Amino acid sequence: MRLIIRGVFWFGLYLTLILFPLVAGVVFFGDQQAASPLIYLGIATGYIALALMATELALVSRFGGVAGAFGLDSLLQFHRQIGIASMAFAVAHPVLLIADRAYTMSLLVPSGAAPWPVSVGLVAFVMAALVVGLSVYRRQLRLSYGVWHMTHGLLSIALIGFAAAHVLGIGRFAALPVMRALWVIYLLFFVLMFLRYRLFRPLSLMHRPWEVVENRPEHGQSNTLFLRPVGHDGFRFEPGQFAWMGFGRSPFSTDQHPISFSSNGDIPSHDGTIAFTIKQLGDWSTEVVPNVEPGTRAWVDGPHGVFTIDREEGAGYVLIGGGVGITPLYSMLQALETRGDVRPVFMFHAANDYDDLTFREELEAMAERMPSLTLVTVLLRADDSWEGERGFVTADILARYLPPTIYRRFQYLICGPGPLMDAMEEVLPKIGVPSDRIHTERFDMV
Amino acid sequence: MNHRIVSTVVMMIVAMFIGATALFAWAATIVAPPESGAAYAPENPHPPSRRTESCLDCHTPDQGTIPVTHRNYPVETCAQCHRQAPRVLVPHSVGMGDARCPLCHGEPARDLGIPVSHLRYETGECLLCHPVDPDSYFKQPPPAGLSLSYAAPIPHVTDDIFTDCSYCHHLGPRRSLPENHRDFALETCMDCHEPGVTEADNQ
Repeated sequence: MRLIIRGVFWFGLYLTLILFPLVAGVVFFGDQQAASPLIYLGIATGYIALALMATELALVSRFGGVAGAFGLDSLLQFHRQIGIASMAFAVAHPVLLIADRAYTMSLLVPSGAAPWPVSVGLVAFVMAALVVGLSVYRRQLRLSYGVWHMTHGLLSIALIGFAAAHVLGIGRFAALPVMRALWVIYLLFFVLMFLRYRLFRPLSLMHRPWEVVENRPEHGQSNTLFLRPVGHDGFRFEPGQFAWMGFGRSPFSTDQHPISFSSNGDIPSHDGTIAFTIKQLGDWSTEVVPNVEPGTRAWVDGPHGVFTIDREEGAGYVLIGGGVGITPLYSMLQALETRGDVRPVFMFHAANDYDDLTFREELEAMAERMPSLTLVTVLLRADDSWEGERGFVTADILARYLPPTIYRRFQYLICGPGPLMDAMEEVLPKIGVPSDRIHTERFDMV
Repeated sequence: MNHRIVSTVVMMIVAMFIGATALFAWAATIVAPPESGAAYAPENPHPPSRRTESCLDCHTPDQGTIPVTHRNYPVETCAQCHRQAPRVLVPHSVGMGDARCPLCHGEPARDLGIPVSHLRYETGECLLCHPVDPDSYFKQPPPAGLSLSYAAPIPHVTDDIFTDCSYCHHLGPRRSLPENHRDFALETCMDCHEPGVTEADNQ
């Protein structure tokens, strides 16, 4: 209930922040602001676009309260989809203007004769298109994550600056001093939020370095990195959570990656060592991670995330993992074993083939030790000797193992490739699992 | 949180914001009467001889003489949208000076009357923008007051006491004739205006 109240609070605050410029515009409306209805619509879409883009800075600033209410992966998904929507509003802004006054189109052609407020607006628009376009098509453009991450941040800040100059220089409503003052305060708030994330947060991590103590190759082209806190006690985390991790001399590097913990955060006499398991999927995970040597300095910003059994009470748990998505689920299983939890747990472990099964020996050993754990391994490709399930995880496979009388009261935690999670989000409601008991973790946003 | 729930929430929010833009446009339209969009920006009526580099002394957002959105437009960019208006040349002699222009052109909505937008100009500065057509320098204008259109018929009978126009249509302080008729004698009314109603019509 408390979580719902927090969610409603943040949602209300979000709507208030986005709609604030429009409300202020109506409140301080003057005769000088009079225009045609299409122009009013154009102004409103421009304000909404800029407010959405400015708020995007705050959404990814790892703001604890927001992430705690919705989960950082949900926020990232929200960030991505709202980013695309904000671009649609940004496109509507000049289109509505031109629809009302076609002759203004000549101003949009870059030339020395164009007034500067128009030119900076055009620059902001192009930057916004780049921010969204590079994010959506990063893989097709073969842009490395590190370069994308850096340009994403820089372009975002720059576009907010240019768009703010555009509003203050040409804005119909921003001609009023009170609106100008409100706009400056409004935008400064978001820039401060961003600085908190890019500047203050790394500063606080400066005194909390970590060191790689072991780099262990795993099945499925993965590596488990064991990290030890240096000069501090580390932290505890809830099973299933993740942290932003990066290497380098300082935590100010933008080359940080969200990685789930694969270790048990629940060991009573924990010495602070944590583990991340990383599959070779991208440039960083393929070129950097396998070659990390013990003794390498690392920076860990965490724990984050709400994809954890500790926040989802149920009669039992159904964990569905594919590929490296097994990582947070393995962390959960370790915690359940440590706690001696007797509730039924069903682990559906999907992979392309037998060699792709990360942690297969560990999970089999765990199934031997835990009577409450049912381990179901599903392989897409297997030879004739394979006695387990084959193909994709389907409703039929689930039905073969889940107890028919009680499975609707279990909590379902799914982590893996996008198609697996899409399929489960479609299949589970069809077999009667309520949507609020289906939890997914997606990091593959760009 | 479920991926689908997030997508649904995003769609709801976007729909809400689209509604908010429409609501904003509606509220703004209610508060201030909107001006309609135009296919072209207003043309620049100033002839080159009258244009100066100090356009923006008169055309300022504060005075309401240009839109507030133009407040940071440099003067060099005006011509980007505002084309030069074609000049209207005076097709007859102006030997009497432009103080006499209002005699014929003083009333809007009359034949060759000035545009309503010109009412704010002082009498006597017409020729600053409207020079004489050199080809018509010696051409005399038609007599003042002569309308180019058909004169309105008299809307009443014209016999008995109505024979004398001055009985009702006064000259002098209580003048009831149009401004551009002040040079006409009342005996000349029927030179242009024909009786529109006869005794037979009344019966």
